[in-house]
Amino acid sequence: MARINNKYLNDFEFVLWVLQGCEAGSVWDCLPHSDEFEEAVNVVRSVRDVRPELGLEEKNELMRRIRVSYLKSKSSNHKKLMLVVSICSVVAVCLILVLGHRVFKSSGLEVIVYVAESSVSVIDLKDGSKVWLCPGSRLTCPVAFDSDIRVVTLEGEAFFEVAHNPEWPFEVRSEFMSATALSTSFDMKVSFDPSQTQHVLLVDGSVGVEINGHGGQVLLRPSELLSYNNDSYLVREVNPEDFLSWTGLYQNIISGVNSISEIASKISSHYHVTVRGSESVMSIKCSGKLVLFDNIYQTLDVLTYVAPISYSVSGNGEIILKKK
Amino acid sequence: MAPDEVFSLLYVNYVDDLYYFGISMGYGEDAVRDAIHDVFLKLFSSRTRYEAVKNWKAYLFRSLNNRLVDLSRHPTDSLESDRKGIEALLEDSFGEREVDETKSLVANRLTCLINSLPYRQKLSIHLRFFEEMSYDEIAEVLRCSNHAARISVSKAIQNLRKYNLLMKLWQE
Repeated sequence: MARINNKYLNDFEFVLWVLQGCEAGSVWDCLPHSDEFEEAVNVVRSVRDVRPELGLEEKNELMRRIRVSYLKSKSSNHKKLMLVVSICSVVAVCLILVLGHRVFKSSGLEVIVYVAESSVSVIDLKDGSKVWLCPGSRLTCPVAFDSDIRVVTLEGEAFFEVAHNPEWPFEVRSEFMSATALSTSFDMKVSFDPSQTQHVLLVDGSVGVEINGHGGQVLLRPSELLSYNNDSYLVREVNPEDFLSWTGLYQNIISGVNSISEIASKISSHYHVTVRGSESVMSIKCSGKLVLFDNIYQTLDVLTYVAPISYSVSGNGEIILKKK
Repeated sequence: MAPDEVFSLLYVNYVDDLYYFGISMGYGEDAVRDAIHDVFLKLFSSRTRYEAVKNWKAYLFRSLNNRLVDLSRHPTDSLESDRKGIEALLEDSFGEREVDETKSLVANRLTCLINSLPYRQKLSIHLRFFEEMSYDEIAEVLRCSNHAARISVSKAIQNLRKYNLLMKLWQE
């Protein structure tokens, strides 16, 4: 192995000293600057020049590459601009889609279901709930429900069978009251006319009713009916079937009636027609059951068989009952 | 001075130092060439903003180091292929220029020690010993304070002494 004869070069501290720039005041600086010393300093300093280098041709080649790349990048600036523009437009479209979806979701693009006077509509909501809409009613529900609550707005009468989800309450709102339910089936009748009776009837489960301006929640038990009229409300126990004949869920039978006037009101609510009659007709006592057929005239025909009455239809579609 | 002239001067003055630096830091020849290409390309593209640079040397070394680190994070073929290492390249340059034996011996021993240092210390010792940079300049390359640069260099020197004892290169 090659040896170094210079005693300074054999000292690592000396090498470090020179490499750090021959600091003045060091012990090495005090030594007599002999030929050997000077030679050692020169050798260490020249070590810096022992280095891999790029040849002249390589340097020129590299420079040429740089210029070519520069020219390329310059000419591709236009392409880049186009790329940026297209990326921007894609991003914009995505944003519109995302925001649009949100607007859709939160500001509530809504579906309004309006049921004609003569039929009952059965609607399957997106969350799995089912709604029977009474003729002439209007139900407004969002295209997509909010994540924290399901809200629909009702005008008229509807029967709700709410899909069970304890974390996702179902609320029916109306002008005068709102009913919140978890898993339940209930009927709600909301009249457009505030002087008329509104009601919430619970069939199954539990429902909380909030009446506007009354504060607090009224909790209903199954088979309880809350009726609201003229700023006061009443809760009483009823037979749900009497109220829900129109849905077709129960047998279409009128029962537990005492007079023609009660039958008339049931027919009226079932077929959503106005049934009128003189006082003497309405006060006729009767009892038993009456099947409500799909066709109102069929039902009325049966009624004329069993009761001493006849009927006629007026020009505006009202049913007029008369004594035979 | 016109920006184009500045650019040419920078290239002529520093391309060798930068190349040496890249190789010393343990990168392959092609990777170093690519990194230098990228650094000067960026420099050429932004000729209008030269006033912002205060110290060209520190700026160039920092750019090159950053670029090399970037390239090594996303290894391409150029980084891996033909990675001879500094020793082999030094051999090449000795062979070509008939450097005297003592000088090559000292150079080899030093390279051997310095190559054992951690990356950041290797970087600061290279800048200090071979580029004769001030601590302020080193601090600018390393993006740290003057004090931190001093600590880095002194730690590196301590380590060099330790490695020297372990490898028994300078014994007498």
